[in-house]
Amino acid sequence: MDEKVVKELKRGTLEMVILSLLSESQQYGYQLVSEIDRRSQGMFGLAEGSLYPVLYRLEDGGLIEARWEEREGRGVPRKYYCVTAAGLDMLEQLKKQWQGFVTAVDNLLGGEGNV
Amino acid sequence: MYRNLDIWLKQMAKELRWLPADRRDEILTELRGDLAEAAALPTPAHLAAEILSTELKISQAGFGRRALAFGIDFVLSVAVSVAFILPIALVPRPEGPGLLVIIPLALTGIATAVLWFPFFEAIIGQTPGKMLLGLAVVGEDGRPCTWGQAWIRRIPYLANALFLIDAVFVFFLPLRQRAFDRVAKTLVIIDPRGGVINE
Repeated sequence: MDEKVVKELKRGTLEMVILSLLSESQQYGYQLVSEIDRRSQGMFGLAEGSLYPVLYRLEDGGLIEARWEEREGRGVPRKYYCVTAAGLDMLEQLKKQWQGFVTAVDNLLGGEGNV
Repeated sequence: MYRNLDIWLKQMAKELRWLPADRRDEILTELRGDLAEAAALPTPAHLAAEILSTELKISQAGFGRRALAFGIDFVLSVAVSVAFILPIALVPRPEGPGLLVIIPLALTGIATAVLWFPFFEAIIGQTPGKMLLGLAVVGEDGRPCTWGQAWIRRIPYLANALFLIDAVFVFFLPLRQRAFDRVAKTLVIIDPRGGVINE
């Protein structure tokens, strides 16, 4: 598939994916990258560069919030993100839209296959 | 390819130069905490461009303030150039200074006039005139202006007519760019780090 199309698909779904992961537990940036990579079995191939702007945008929009956590020893503090109540509402809306979208596309593709 | 996180972070700090200092430091601290365990580091320029696309609040500078900054720089650069060349003219002939003195002084004076804008814009992103008026030159992606960009945007200054035509584009292009700003992919913006004069 055209690389640009795949990129757009990932971009369009990344906010929903991040909100979903953060609704399970608070995570820091690189942890999110690793988790997305693991669960998508490398399909997302998410570079850190694509992650941080989305995190900052969600934070500015009040959909997630962050807190700094000191680490033991001389470890550098980490910024953990968790989803807010507004973020959970948004996640529910996005999930519904996504499921509707997938169903619609499946129907269209299935219809094409039956011709 | 960066293997050392400290060196990578120094490069990243340069890339994020135009963010307010507290926000830049916060982002760098977050990246340090996150990437300490990363197997490979992303390219600073690529990551910076993505972060800046969200974080940098760009406000294009108007023609008036830019023209005033140019005027200040013009006067300063001429004054510094003359300061190097004047001693040559003032020393009486024929017992004046030898070529070993004249040539370096004259070259320094000429170099000052030629290098003034590209040097300051590429090294610190602001000429003294722009600094005084709270302006900065950045790439269209918000990253610092490079040497190449600084030279390209100075090309029209080689010819008077071209200089004027180039400047008129500020009134028509949506990002208030001169024509050679457009070519160099640069913007002149209000210094986004705060503490500057309002337009």
